[in-house]
Parts: sequence; C-alpha cells; structure tokens
Amino acid sequence: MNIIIYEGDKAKLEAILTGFIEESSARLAMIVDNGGMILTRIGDFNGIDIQPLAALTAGSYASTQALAKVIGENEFTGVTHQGKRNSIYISMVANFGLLVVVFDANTTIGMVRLSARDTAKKLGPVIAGIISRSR
Amino acid sequence: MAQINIAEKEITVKIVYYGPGMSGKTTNLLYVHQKISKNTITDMVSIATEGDRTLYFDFLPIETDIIPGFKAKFQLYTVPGQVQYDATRNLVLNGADGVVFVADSQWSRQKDNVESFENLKENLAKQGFTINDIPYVLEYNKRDIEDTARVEYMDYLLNREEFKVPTFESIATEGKGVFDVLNAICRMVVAKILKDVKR
Repeated sequence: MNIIIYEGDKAKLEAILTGFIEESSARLAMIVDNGGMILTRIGDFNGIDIQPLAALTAGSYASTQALAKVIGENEFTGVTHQGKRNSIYISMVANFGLLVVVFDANTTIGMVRLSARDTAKKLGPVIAGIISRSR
Repeated sequence: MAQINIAEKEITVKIVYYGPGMSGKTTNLLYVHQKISKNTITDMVSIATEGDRTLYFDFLPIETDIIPGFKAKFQLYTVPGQVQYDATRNLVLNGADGVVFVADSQWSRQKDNVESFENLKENLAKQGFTINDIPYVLEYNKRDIEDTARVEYMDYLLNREEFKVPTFESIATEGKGVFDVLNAICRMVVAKILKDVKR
C-alpha cells in the first residue's frame, strides 16, 4: 500500500498542527507513520535532524507498545521522554501514525498532553481519508 | 508502505537490510554513508550497538533524483540479525517497501542464512505479506573469505521462490557490490510503486 498525500491533505494537516502549536506552545509537531516516515511537520526545527527524529520516535513508540504487552497492557497511550531543556511527547493518531511533539520550558507536559488529545481527534478523519485513498 | 507526497513532490521509501547476525548489514550502510556526498545525506543513526552487533537498528536516509520531477528519499534500515532479537526485527520490518537480504557466504553460515530467510518470510506473513509481494534482492557477502560456498549453492538454498530475484556477490568491507545492490533494490521498489500507482 502506498500513502498518497495531496495539497489539500497537506493544508488540512498543517492547519491542525498549527492550531496545536498555538494552543500548546510546543516547539514543533510532526505526524509520522508507523514505519517512521514523515507525513507533515510544523514548528521550529532549527538544529534538529528530522528524519532520524521520525525514525527513532517510531522505533521508540513501537518498542514501548511491545513493552506494554509484556506486562499485560494492551497499549501505553502516550510516551514522554523528558530532557533538561527539550522533551518529546508521542501519541498514536487514528491507529495509523504518531503525533510527535517536541516542547521546552515554554509549556508543560500537562498542557501538551491535553492539546495533543484534542488534536488527535481532529487529525483522525483527515488521516482516515488519506488511508482510504491509498493503494 | 511508500509515501507519495504530491504536495511536496517527494517519494519516501523504506528499504530494510535483513539477514543473519554478523553477515554485514551494518557494513553495507556504513560504506554507503562513507561514499555518498555530504550534501545529500544526513548522519547515520546506529542505536544500541553492543560491540559490533546491532541491537535495534541502523538508519541512513539518502536522497536521489531517480524519478524525474520528484525528490526520492530512500530510508535504509538494518535489523538486528541475532535470533533472539525477533521482536525488534519485526518492528523494523514494519512498512518496508523493499528488502536486501544479506547472506554470509561462509560455508559454516549457510544454515543461519536459510533460517534467517525463513524468519523474514514469517515476519512478512505477520504483516499480511508473502515474500513475493515485496521487491527484494539477495546479496552474497564476504566473497573474499576462503571458506565460501559457491554462488550456485547459495542460489539453490535462497533463490528458490516462485519468482527468481537478482543476486549479487559482495565484499562489503571493501565496498565491492554494495552500490550494485542498492541501485538494484531502489529501481525495483520505484518500479513497483509506479506500477501500483498507475493501476
């Protein structure tokens, strides 16, 4: 199956992510598929190599979900990696991809998580549309 | 699962180097990384490497102009070859558009090659695919070692599916054959994507 992204999809995804950045004050947000490919991205990527960021977050999330099953959980709904200056929050979107957020001291994990939950709901139908057209 | 981004004029493809432990998967990527111009490549990521063994995966993104009008991004991954890392191998294989199976040419490793190839088929099956659904090539590595199996024998062991696939002899430590393999798999994957899209 090939995922095909048109101008309209890009505009919708970017509009939702822009709203998320404004609401949460996160540094950047991107949508990555389960295999580590970037669908779209918004925010301040200065000094960040985005392809390894996508590949590693997809790997990290996948291994975290496998870890959940080891201890008898179906899934961990979100994953946080906390750093001194920058942190990462990853959550699943539409059973297909990941919302990857990098944030710093301008906001809090609580705020990011809250906004991410609403954002995932908005992203769901758009991503479902992309998947339904893919072949 | 390739991504065709019409808006950005980009095609992103995932290629996984599979094979038994110590067959030279990471060495292939290291050579590509070393040789490709710094303008078209970012750093190679190797995570959780214990000695000279990959514990999770290596990741190397490269860009080419193989498709007119589009930027083609090839994301090269290796899996950990050791038998015990099947769970992580499965995670890395997820969404692969093409596979390079790196076999070890030493006589003593032929059983490991066959087991790893069977493991590849099992892991593809878990994702709902057969080996014939996905473009792949066979790379017979370490041809410089004295104790090598003949190519015909390795073909007999590994290239016995319904559709025969291209095979390559290589010495990845010297870079011999590495780009022949990469070119072949990239072309096969792109051809399949274009065929799928036109259908």
